[in-house]
Amino acid sequence: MNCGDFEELAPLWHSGELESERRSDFDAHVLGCAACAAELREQEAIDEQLRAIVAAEPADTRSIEAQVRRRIAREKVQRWAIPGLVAAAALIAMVLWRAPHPAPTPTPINPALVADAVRDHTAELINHVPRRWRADASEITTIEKSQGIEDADVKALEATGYKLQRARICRLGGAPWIHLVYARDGREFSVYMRVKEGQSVPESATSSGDLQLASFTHGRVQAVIVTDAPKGECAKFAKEAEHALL
Amino acid sequence: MIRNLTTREHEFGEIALPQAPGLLRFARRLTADPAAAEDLVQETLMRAWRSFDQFHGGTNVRAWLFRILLNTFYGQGRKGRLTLVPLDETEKAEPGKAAAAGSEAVFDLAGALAKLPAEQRTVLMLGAVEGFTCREMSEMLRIPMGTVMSRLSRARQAMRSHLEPAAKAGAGTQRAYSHKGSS
Repeated sequence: MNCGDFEELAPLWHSGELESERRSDFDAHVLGCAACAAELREQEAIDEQLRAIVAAEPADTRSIEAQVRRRIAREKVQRWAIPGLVAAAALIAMVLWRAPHPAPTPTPINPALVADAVRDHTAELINHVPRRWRADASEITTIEKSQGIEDADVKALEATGYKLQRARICRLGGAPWIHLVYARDGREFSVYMRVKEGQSVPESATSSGDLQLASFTHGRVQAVIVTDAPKGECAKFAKEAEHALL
Repeated sequence: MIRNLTTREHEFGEIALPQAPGLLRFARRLTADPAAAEDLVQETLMRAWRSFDQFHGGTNVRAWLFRILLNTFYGQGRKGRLTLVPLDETEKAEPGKAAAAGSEAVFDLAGALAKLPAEQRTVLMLGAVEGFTCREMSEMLRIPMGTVMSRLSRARQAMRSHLEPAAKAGAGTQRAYSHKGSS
């Protein structure tokens, strides 16, 4: 080991990430090199002083915590109130449906499915909750098979210019779905895919906050797309994906 | 179901909220604005709460929260709601505070830290102060581990060059070189 290696490996030494053999080499070099020993000592001194300065700073977070608890309480109320409103809206819709109306309206996506897809996309693509993703092609194929999805269906979407990044299994509306992440021009799109069983998702588009959603069923595959891309881009991807599916 | 939500809220209070002081200290360095730092921590905790049902026990909660904080900060920055203010402006504006905190050395160190480019200051704070490993920082910042290492090296070199006289004077009083990890 030489002084150049020392420079390169010092960050790993500080964080305790040097493997034992390399750490022995590193330590041996430092013991034999006065310049590197002095540098390491100074680095340690700076780190220690930084820790001391930051630790000495007062950080009273009681008001932040109180505010967070209040906001959580408010969201809890909304969590219960919104399903109630949805149920009321459904009841009104049923009553109105019995009366003559001018034109049929498009079937909306199941609200529970929308809520779960938005929550899942937000957690995984925006907040990056630590989850185990499969990025290797063979592992993704294994996941597809486990859910009865054809590899050709997943690959077909790539033919539209959207690159498959990773996949994992998630649960939407109480059922397992494959969560596929595609990217194009720096934007990520969640594609939730599942073999059609019973009632399938309708061809539909909606939004939730900053997120756009689109859904369709084609052949035996149903899909829900979630993205923070503009509405037009989401709809374009949905249309291309639907056409690309075999 | 109400009971489940209450239990979850209790767990969140036990696991995530105690991290608030550490998040706030880090956020202050990141934003250089005490009010913005408090908003950032509050928003971080709310985002964490909304994702908490997908948080797995055994996951490093600090790394998870710091990652959310960084995502929130840089996400807000892109939308123009928060701007990255050079830290030295705050330090210059509050010289009395630094002096009251201890000594000239403290002021020198804070000043040297403030002079670092934001990306070097971030890894130095995360690594040297918060104790995250290079691998954790690499995942947190979504940059290669080699980049983390080189930023840390450059940050420490810059700190030394800013502080050379003070650091040399202080070095004599620091503990002698010892093998890290050995007991």
